[in-house]
This record gives sequence, C-alpha cells and structure tokens, in this order.
Amino acid sequence: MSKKKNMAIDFQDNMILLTRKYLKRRIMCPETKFRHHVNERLHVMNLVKRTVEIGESNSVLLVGPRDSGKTTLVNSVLKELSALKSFKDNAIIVNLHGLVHTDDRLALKDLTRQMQLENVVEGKVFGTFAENLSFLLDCLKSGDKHHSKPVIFILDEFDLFCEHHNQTLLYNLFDVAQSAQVPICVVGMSCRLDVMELLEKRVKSRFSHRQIFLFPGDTSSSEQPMSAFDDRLELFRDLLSLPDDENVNKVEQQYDDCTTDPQFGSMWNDYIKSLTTNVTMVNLLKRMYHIDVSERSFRNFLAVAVSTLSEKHQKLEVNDFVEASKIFSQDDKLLILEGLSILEMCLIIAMKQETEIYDGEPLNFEAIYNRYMKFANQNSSVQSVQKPVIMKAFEHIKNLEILLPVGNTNTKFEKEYQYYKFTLTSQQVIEAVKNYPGLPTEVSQWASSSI
Amino acid sequence: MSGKQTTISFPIRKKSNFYSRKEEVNEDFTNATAKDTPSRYVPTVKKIVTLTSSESESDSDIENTKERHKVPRERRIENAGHTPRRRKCDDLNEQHTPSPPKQRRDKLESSLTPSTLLNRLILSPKKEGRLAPKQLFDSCLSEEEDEIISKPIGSNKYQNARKSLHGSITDNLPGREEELTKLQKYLLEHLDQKTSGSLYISGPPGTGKTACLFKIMQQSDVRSKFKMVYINCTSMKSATAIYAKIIQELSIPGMTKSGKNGKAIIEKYLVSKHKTLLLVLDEIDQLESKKQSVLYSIFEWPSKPNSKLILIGIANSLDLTDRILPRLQARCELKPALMHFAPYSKQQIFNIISTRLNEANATNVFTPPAIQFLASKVAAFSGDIRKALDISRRVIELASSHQVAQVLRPTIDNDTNIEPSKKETEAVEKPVDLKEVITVLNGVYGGIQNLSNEQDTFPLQQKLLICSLLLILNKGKNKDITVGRLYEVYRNVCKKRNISAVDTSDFVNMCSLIETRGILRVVGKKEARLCKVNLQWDQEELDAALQDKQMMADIINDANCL
Repeated sequence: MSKKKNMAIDFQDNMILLTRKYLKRRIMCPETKFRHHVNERLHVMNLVKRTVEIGESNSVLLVGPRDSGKTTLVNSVLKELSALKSFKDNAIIVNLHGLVHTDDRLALKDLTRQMQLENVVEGKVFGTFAENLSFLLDCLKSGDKHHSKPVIFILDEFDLFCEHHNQTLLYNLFDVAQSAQVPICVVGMSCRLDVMELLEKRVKSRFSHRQIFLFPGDTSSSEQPMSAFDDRLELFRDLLSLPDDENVNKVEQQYDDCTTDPQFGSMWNDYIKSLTTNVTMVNLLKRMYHIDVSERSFRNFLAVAVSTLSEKHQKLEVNDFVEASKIFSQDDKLLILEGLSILEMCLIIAMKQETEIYDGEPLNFEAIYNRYMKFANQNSSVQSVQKPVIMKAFEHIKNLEILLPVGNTNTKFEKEYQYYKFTLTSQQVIEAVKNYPGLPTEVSQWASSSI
Repeated sequence: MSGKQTTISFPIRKKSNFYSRKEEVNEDFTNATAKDTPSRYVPTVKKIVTLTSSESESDSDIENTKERHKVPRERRIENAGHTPRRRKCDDLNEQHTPSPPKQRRDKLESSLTPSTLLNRLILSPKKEGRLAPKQLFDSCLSEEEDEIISKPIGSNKYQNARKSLHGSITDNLPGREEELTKLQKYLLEHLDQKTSGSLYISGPPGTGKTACLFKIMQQSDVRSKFKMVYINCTSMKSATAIYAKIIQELSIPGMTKSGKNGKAIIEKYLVSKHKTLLLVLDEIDQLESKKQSVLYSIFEWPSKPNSKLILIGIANSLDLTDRILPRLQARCELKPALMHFAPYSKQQIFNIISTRLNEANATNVFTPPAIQFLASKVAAFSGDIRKALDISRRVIELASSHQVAQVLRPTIDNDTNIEPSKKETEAVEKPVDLKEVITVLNGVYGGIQNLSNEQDTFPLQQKLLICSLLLILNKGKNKDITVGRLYEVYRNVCKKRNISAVDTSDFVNMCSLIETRGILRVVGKKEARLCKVNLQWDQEELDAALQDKQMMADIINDANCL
C-alpha cells in the first residue's frame, strides 16, 4: 500500500518538474509561430514568393521597435515557404547580420560562402575584397530572370549596414534588384524608424520605398480584433497552459518529449484560466502593460514566476507573480544604497543637503567633509572619524558612480577639490534612509531635517 | 547526404517521455540558444526533405530522364564538360567532369545546399542560351505547384502590367529624346573629327542618365566604331583601384600584381595606336580622394595628343567639376562639356508609365486620372522615375490582392477607407483607380509621424511621459530638459491624476522605448538622469495628436505640475 502511495507522489513530483520544463522552454524559446500582423506577413510572403516564382526583384524594409516580431515574421514566412518544393529547390537564402558583418568585406565573404560561389572551398573564401566584389557582381549580372536561382538576402540590423563605407554593399544589392539581373529579394530589418534617412540618395532611389511598419501590441489586424490588453491576457494564458491531449504530438513537434497526462493538463489549464480572472493578477498585468508593451520582457517575467515551481511548491499562486514583478520594478540604486556603511550613508545625506542648498551645483570633498563634521560635532553620540577614513568612504561612493566628475578628470586638481555631480534624487535618499536597517536615530533625523 | 557547412552541430536533445528522469531538465537552454541562431532554417529544410523525398520522386524521375536526353547532346557540341545543371544529374557528372576539385566538392555538399546555377553561367556565358531552364519555368510543372503559383499572384493582366513596370526594363526612353540626340551628336562629332573629349553628366537619381548611355552604347553604329568600357565606381574599394579595373576591361597586358603602375600603363596605351575609346565612369564622385589626384589624371587623359578617348562621367551633383576639380577650368581643352538631366516632369512620368503599360497590353489596368495623380505627386517630390514605377507596381499589387482574396483585408497598413463589403460586389476586372493610388502614396510619403492611428497601441505611461515633455516645452521657462527634470514633472502629473508613477529605472527604460519610435532622442550616455531629452517630432503636430484625448489635453495645459 505504502509503496503505491509513494509511487503516486513520485508521479506528481515528476509531473510538476516536467511542467516547469515544458513551460520554461515554451516561454524562453522563440517560436516560428507568428501572431498578429497578418497583413504585413502576407505582404512579405507575397514578395518573397513572387521573387522565387516569377523572378521579380524586390526590396523591402521591416521597421519596428525592438521586440516587435520582425525576425519572427521573416522566420515564419521562410518556414512556411520552405515547405513548398518549388521554393526549397530554387531559392538561396543569405542571412547577414549587421552586428556580425561589421564591414562590407566581412559581409561579402560570408555572402560568398552562403551562396556557395566558385571561389569558396570548404567554407573559406579566397581573394581580396575587390576581387570578391567584382566576382559577386559578375555572378549576379550574368544571371537573368529565367535561368538562375533567386536569391533572398535577409539583412538583420539594417541600420548598421548603412554605416559602411559609401554603402557599397547596399548600393550594389539594390542596383541588382533594380536591373534585369538575377532575381533577388532584399529584406532589411531595422528598429530605427528613420532608417530611410540613413540611406544615400542614390541608394535610396534604388530602394523600392516599401517599408512595412510593425508595432508591438498592434492587434488591429489580427484574426479577431480585440483590445491590446486582452491580447496580453490571451498571451499570458497561452504561454502558461499545457497542451491538450490532441495536439501534443501533432502540432508542437518540437516539444515531443513532453507527453503530458491529459487529466493533469486540463486541471492545470483550468487553474491558469481562473488566474486570468483574478483581480489582483489582472491589475498587476495591467500595470506592467502600461509600462512596457514588449513581449520579451513579459516573457522574462513569466520565466521568473514559473521557475518558482518545485516539488514543494506545486501551484503558481498570484503571490508568485507579484514577487516576480518586484524583481523587475525595483530601483537598483536603492539596493546599492542599502549596502553602504553608516559613514557612507552620512556622507550621502550630506551630499543630498549640499545639492539641495546650492540647487544642483557641483560639490567637492571639502564641502561634504565640512557638512559632515558639523553634524558629527553637534551630536556627541556619533563617533568622529579621521579625515583619511572619510576620504576613503567618499572614494567608495565615487566608485559606485553615485558621484560623477564634472569637466575633465585629469590630475590637475587635488582630489579633495575635484568637483562632482550628485546623481541621486532627494527622494531616493529619503527612501534609502527609511529602508536602511539599524540606522542611528540621529542620522535619520538629520536626513529628514529641512535646512 | 553528408554534412553541410552552414549547420553547426548542437548537443542532440535526448528524447525523454513524460515519466523520464529529472536530470534532463537542464538541457533546455542549450537548445534554446541553438534555436535562436539565424541559420535555423537549414535544419528544417533538411527535415522536410527527408520527409517529402518519397513523394517527389515521381516528379524528379521525369525530369531526370529529360535531362539525360539533353545532356549528352550538349556534351557533343561542347567538349568543355561544364554541365549546366549538375544539381539534377549528379551521376552523369561524376563520369564526365574533368576538373577533380570541383567534383570533390560536389560530393561533399548535400544536394540541398544551394549550390547555384549562377556559377555555371559565369564560367561559360556563351552557353547561356542552351541552358536547361529552371524547373519552375519548365512546362512540366507539377499540378499542385501550378495551383500554388497562380493563386496568390492574380490574373495574368496584372502580372504583365507589373512586369512591364519593373525598373529593369528599358527599351525606349520617352521624355529623353532630346538628351539622346545630344549625346549621340557629341559622340559622333568627336568620332568624325578624331578628337577626344570629356563629358560630365549630372542629374538627380532616377532621371535616366545611365539608361540613356546604355541605349546609345547598344546602337550598332556606335558600337562598331568604339571600344567601350563601362565602369560603375561604387564597386571600387579605393579611388586608385579604378586603374586596375580599366586595365582589366581593356585587357592590356603588362599589369603587375600590386597594380602600382596602372596609371602608367594606361597612359602608355592611350598614346599608342588604338581604336577610339569610350570610357564611361558611373557614379564618378566615388573616386574622390584626398587631392583628387585620380580624378584629375583621368580628366587629363583626353587632352593628351592622339589619345582618342571620350570620357563620360556620371554623378548626381550639378557642380561636381567646379567644386572638386577647379583646376580643370584653367585650361580650355581640359574643361569637360556639361550635360544636365532634369528631373522628370509630371507629363513625362505619365508618358513613361502609359507607354510601358501599352507595350504590355495592359492599358486598362490603370485609369488615366490615377496615373496623372501618381505622376504629379512623384514629380512634385523628386521626379524620380524609379519611385514612380515602384509605386505603380505596388498599386497594382494592392489592386490584385483585392480581387484575388476579398476575404483578406488590403495589405498596405494605413488604408481604412475601403470597405470590404463593397469590394466583394465589384466587378472582377476593374481598373486601378485613384483610391488605391492614394493608399500607396500615403504609405510612401505619409512618413512615420502618425501617432493618431496608433493611439491604442501606445501605452498609457509613455503617453504621460510625452505629455509631461510637451508641458515643459510649452509652459516651462527652462527649455533645457534632462531626464531627471522630466521625471519630476512626470511624477507631479501622476500624483495629480492619481496614477501610480513608475520609478526612475523604469522611467529611463521608458524613455529608451519611446526613443525607438523616433519621437524623442536622449542625448548623452553616461548618467541617465543627466541626459538631455530632445523632441524629434514636430511639437505642434504631436501636440495636436495628443490634444484629442481629454486627459492628455488637461495635462499638457496644466502649468501647476511644473
């Protein structure tokens, strides 16, 4: 009997761990499943398709803030198209990234490698930059609509390509796209909305002016229109629910190792559903949504919440989410202040008062020292410390970059007379004084006393 | 097939079923990074291939037999052994290709790696005509593919129209007759008198400078009398690399590897006996160097006795020769003749588009007022024909997508005035009208500063931030705004409206989020609080957009919060 009971517990434990594993992977792994922006996706899809099928040359820019699903969109389009035989056999996909290919030489080398041109032997490209470029252009020029494979160039971080010398690569790519050469499709992705202004006039003229804007949280074009926040709730539910028994192995092939017990799964899903009607939960999500609509940070938040699951902690409570949200919303400056010594706290208070009195003028060590000594002399309970020790504390504060030097920092000045700017607000200081454990009463009184 | 270079081997994920051991949990994140890499597609493709290979066998068998008929015939004619389509008939190639290194590589690659057809084309351009057409353009298209192709593209007429409007097609150049005759006259004059000269052609991009030259160079009477060299200078790495390129194009022997004596070789060639040379340097402003030595020496070549060189430089700026080559003015024979290509006028753009449509037998795709409108809009901005053609192509795309899939809403983002219900009842072959043109033009010229139609997607707190910024700009005395000051005002605003304010770190984060929209710019890197905030958009425009909502308007006008 007891053995059987143990087994049952084991089963449950395992279940929660597997659930955690599944959820974490689901939250952290970017998918190729694309939500929203149906029209934009169709637009890109048509362009790429037409390049491959009719041999038309195209160029397009996907513009949207970070984490608005640009890469996901392109990935999902390519994934869907690669299921077609005609696409898979005919198209060459070249991926370039502005952060990796920091100049045209590197970009060209990798481009040649990815296109498997004649001067590539086992992944190494031979020849100088000029040779490679002319070779590549010859390759592209000698092809035409009907006899050569279409090439799809995907340029990530497109704005960084604009900083290259003379924009040679961009000019040549767009030039090929404009003339009767090999059919190519140039897809640029950038998070700068003014990316068109970075292009040189001749490059701009050759670009097709086809910009597709993506904004996160834009749900107006999705299948069933709903408000932006409802969509966030939907995402919350979607990311945290376990798969139903039918689509475990069919739809989500990449998660094939997690075969869930349907009974447990449905119970879990019901619970998650009930969470989305919880008032505290909805308020929390709403507050977070108002600050930041991006999906990535939301996923990070969920990952923190999910990782609290363990054998002892079998359910996701509302409190877990509240705790997780605290990690994302707390002020890190305050945390730094909590770790300072009392002497350093005193100096910070002195600095605060100094900035308040002189209305944000820069301060130096001597001023702070005088202010501190005045306080220490008035209160006999505060131990007086020697000047070098205070200097040491001051330097420590400086190293935490709470103080920033004003002007040039060369050794012209003695370090006591170097001017600094104080970067904390008085509110932050008062908050820190409140939070500081075991601060002497005199000090906290001094902090709150107005001058 | 064997491994490819593009894939990186990652630790293979063990299959674990639901009741497996717990240790495997920590494998997750290695896989996660693996999935993030951009080269992710290759594996998926591979996977699908193995799945579908059995299905596709029937198709490829037919093609293979077709190929086998073709290939030996070709080989008889051409002994070189370069097979045009190695991809399709690997087995045959392995017997015949003489060059061992290539064959080795072929074996190493999987057939799926996109080893291109292009390469073969370069090696033997003469063979081009005899190349087996790509599978897609074969008549033996498998049926389901045919369906896939025809479905999204729409009716044939639209396709023709779009093809004819592509920027690449240049047969005749309406609106440039004058320039063409002028150019031809210039060339023939110099040819008859056996003198050399230099010509500088200027004009904004998209006015047909290069197209005109190409057209002249294609005429047979010009072609036979000249030796022609066309170089686009953007592909030069440095200004001096042009010499090597010219030598290569002229195929003069005697070039050293370092290419240092390139200039000397060309000058030697120029004084020797040779056919009249027509040297066309496109985008010549790319050759600017420190003392303009390259440009000077190139422009001095025509003045050499017996050089018989006609130099044509093309660039955008009108005054390039005056600005960077002032010394050329000093001597009369050095002074280049100037020619300017003005931007296309409205009527010219109209003519170009309508002639192109006429050629493609697709005149009724566009209504004349629609073209008129498009032409006038483009002419008013830049007169760039590339832009006009691109826009017209997009208009046709939009129109065909309306007709093919009425279920789907239009693909361009900011069209709101087209009711889908009305579209459905419309006739199938309706010409493109003004409405579509306006839609696309708005997309191209509308710019990015339209906050009003994204009201809902713009988060509340970010709106508050912008309102606070506007409040300071409108009412405050000190227009020098730092993030710290903005935060104080923002806190006041929030307090007054009973909205919970975010704290500093979130606020800085929010600033950078808005920055990605291009509304404001945070200047300075070091300490976030001391950074300056500059408004990028037009203040009045933003003001107007936000005044719509009652609360925002209140905030903007509430000077107490300062």
